[in-house]
Amino acid sequence: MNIRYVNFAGQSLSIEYPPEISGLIEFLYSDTNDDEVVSPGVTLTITRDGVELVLRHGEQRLYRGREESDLATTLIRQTIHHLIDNNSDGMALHAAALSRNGRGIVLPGCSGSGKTTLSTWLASQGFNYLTDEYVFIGENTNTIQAFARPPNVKTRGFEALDRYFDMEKHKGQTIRSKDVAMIPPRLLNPHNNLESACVSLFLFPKFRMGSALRLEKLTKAKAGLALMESLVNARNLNGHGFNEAARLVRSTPSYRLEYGSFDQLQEEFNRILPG
Amino acid sequence: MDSDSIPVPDKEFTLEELDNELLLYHPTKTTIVYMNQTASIIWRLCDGKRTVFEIIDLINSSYPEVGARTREDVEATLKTFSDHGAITI
Repeated sequence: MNIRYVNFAGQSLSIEYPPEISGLIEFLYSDTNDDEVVSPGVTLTITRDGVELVLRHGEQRLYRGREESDLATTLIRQTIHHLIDNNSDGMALHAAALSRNGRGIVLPGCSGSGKTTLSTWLASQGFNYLTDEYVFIGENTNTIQAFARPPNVKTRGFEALDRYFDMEKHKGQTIRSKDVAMIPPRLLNPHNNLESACVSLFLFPKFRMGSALRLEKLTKAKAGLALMESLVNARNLNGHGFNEAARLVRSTPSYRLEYGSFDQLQEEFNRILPG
Repeated sequence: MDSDSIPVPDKEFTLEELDNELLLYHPTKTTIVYMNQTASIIWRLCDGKRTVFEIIDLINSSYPEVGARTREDVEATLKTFSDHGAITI
């Protein structure tokens, strides 16, 4: 069995897996910190049983099936869950993140808000893609720690991205399931750089195909409310992270963005985006 | 709403003032209440002693331009507070 360590936001886990799926593990975790740790908090184990792959956490079976793409989805979800679930060292936000010249853009939002589609497009426009799912900001800091998984573009986002990324041409370099395509960030931006970045902008996106562009600068109180709605580890934090959320929105401009196509965005983005 | 009733704030709420607006957060109910500038002023006047009438009177004297709508604005705001459990009346 091979072992891969995954470190994020001060937490660690290990994944034990058979050598024949090394390519999959590398695809999923190539941009995460893999420093060896003596006692990772959790170990996920992947074994082969005939033609099927089985994912377990201890005695608990998390996945069994033939499809590597389905295993990949479950494995990433479980990895994130275990790295964030008990974390009390800062704010874990359900958010995408990108950067340019060391300045970070955080896109908080629930599933279906369009943060993956928008971050994928921004990466294709030269921004550094950091994550499409989870951002961690340590207590009393404003440095973005991003869980660097490949963007998981849902099939409904394909049409919007069609002009910017040729899904069919790169089919062999992505992992596709029925509902999702995982795209290596360097296919979107060959110069993608996982640079350290500070939060310079909060952008709360909402994509609706065909919708008119609406960009609203949020007051700090409205931004704080929206940020609290994206906080996933509030129960672990002192005061449920309320004071930390207020601290961040005090020093960071925030916008709510509703859009229906990327053509609408270019000019507005140049106006509000850092750097 | 009875003008003589007294809105009593729930002291458990944590308050963050952000520019002229407020966020109130209740740690055990995990409730967040957003207040615009007007609502923030009304919240500060809810000290557990003033009646609804006195709050309306104070708003009228401080913000005469609001005029005839003051009563309905204050009552609507107090109802929002009450719906979130931030005050009892």
